[in-house]
Amino acid sequence: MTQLADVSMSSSDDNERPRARRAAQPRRGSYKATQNRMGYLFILPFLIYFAVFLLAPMIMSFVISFMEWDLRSAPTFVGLDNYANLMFDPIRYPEFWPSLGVTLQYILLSVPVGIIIAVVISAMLNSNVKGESFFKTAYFIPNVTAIVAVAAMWIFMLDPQFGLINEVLGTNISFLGMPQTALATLAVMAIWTALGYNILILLSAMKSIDESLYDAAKIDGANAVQRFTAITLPSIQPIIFFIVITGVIGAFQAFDQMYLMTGGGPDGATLTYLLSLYNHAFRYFEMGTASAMSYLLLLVILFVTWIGFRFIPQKLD
Amino acid sequence: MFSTQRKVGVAALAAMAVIVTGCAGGGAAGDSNALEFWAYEPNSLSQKEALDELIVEFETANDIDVKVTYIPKDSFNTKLNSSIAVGRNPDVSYLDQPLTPRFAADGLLLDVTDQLAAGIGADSFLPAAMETNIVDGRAYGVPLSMTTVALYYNKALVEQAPTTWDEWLDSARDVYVPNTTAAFEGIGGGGWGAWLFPAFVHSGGGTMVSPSGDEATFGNEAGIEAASFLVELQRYSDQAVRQSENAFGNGLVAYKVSGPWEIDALSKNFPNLEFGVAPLPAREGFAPTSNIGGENLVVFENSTKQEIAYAFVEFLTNAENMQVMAGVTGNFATNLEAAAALNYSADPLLGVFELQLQSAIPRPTLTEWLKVNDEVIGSALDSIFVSGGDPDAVLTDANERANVILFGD
Repeated sequence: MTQLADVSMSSSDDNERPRARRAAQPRRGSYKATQNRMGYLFILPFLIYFAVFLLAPMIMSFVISFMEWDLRSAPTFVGLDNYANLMFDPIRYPEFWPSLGVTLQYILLSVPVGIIIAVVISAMLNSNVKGESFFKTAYFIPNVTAIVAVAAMWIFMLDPQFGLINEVLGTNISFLGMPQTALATLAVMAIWTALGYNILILLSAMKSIDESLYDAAKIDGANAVQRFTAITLPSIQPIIFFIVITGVIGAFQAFDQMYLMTGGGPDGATLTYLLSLYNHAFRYFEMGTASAMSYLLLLVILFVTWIGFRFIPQKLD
Repeated sequence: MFSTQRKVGVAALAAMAVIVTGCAGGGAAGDSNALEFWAYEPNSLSQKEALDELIVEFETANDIDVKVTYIPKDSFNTKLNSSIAVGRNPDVSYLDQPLTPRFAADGLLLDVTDQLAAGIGADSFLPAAMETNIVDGRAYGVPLSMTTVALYYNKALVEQAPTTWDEWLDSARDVYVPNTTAAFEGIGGGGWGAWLFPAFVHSGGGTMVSPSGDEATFGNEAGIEAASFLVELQRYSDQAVRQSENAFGNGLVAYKVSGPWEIDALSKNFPNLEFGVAPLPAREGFAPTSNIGGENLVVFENSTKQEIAYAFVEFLTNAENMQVMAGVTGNFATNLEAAAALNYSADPLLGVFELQLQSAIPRPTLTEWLKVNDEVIGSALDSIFVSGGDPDAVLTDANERANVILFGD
């Protein structure tokens, strides 16, 4: 009944509109349609880019993952063989499981420590420290420096005879030459590289926390640590969640440092999943295998992300 | 307002057109009039000019355009494979030695056995280099350049280079100073180490595969002996010393195994370093035998200009022009007459490599060899040299796995 009355009223309103306004209605619709068309036109280059360079390759690589294809000869349909061989044929694909293990180790080494350090430094920078801009810039520089330059610098610093790090430690350790230390060293380098980005995001989240919460806590006698654990940390939970998820996904795709600095060695200690995938694609030209690896990686990332969504707090308490 | 929108719309369409046109591209390959030739990007302008001059000479003599595309070596194979995938490969190109058997097996390369026999002749080339083109007795390319490795030694640490493994070990014990001086830089890991390892296997009287080419043999007694020898040598070569950047150049290491490309780099960057080059020491009772690397020139089976394409290959590899091509590639001439004319033996350093090439043995021409090289032999050597695996057990297992990959048994 109420609905009918509403409809009736609405109809009545329409009848009462000035003629000129009603006459303008179709034109307004046409204008909106034109605006929409223009909008689509403007995003068309992106849509084409997305379709040609992202969507199409994704679909193609999915199809190729069921093929045996070396780029040179015609692809042959092999069903799920590529997936099965990768997982169950350690003679032909000895590096599949070890490379996945190396990648998981790398994630465990680099992501949690990197985030803890970033949170601590962000909190320090958020405490009205002098030269905040300088520190933010200094921490961010590695993030915008070419990875080749970063790699060259770290190789130089890590030199067992003349490197700065060994000089400081008073040792002669070949950090990149020993399986026990190579991956951890690359993880440290990754933490250093990503620190500025994480700090920037965490710091902006901290700055958006209502100051009155801290004031109230101070009145209640909370010290700095209590304010940090009771106000700051819960307030930035969504951002920490975001950094964990993007950090894990990024670490799954670790490639550049290993390719440039260790080539996957020593003894496969830094052969990450993506480096192994690269070798299959562009060294052995096993495109089907490489495509299958990329989709298996997608599944692993989806699973790990789901675990993240399931177990890591992502909302403000 | 509407007019402005229209203008913007037209601009957006124009931008799109540029993008789409850009996507469509227009590679060099596939030009129906010119002979398409792909080569590695030479290291210097003078090398490029030298090759360009040869090409002009060929164009003039044969009344044909040669369109050369220079591609950096690191991305050459990927680009070549991609071009084949879309049917836009060149008529003639460089091809890395280990890829020649794979490409031949895929039916991509022109069988040039008959042309070669009727023309320049296979015996014009160093046999080991020619062998990298032979698959099932047929030639699928012509050797363009070759290189090998020999023993570098620091004259300040070593008076005379060893000729046998025993002498080398004695010298290693003498020269070794813990944490200060290492005897040997090592052969490195992964695919690179696996490329160097055959030189030690061969110098120990072994082979990587059986003479009939149907069985992996690097895990036999000679291979295990070679790996054990290298492990022993490593005992006098502290990791922290030999893995320092430019350890040999900085005088921290007495011995290094590398190719002729090292000569210029060492002379230029370490002018105070006095170094010599000697043939690889061999196991007692065996001859020093090295490995071989380099490139071949191949004609593609789908070329519509096979005749002139092969003529171009012979033009670049004949005795006269091979001398120029040796300069272009920075490697040794494969044409015996050209090599003689270049008189490598007059150079005390290059002469050693030339001598070493005479007995060098190429990689097996098996289609899956590259994968076995990296994933089986490279991993096995890492396991031995880095993680202390037992050479006997590791190489025996690796040999079995190689047989499965190569021959399915």
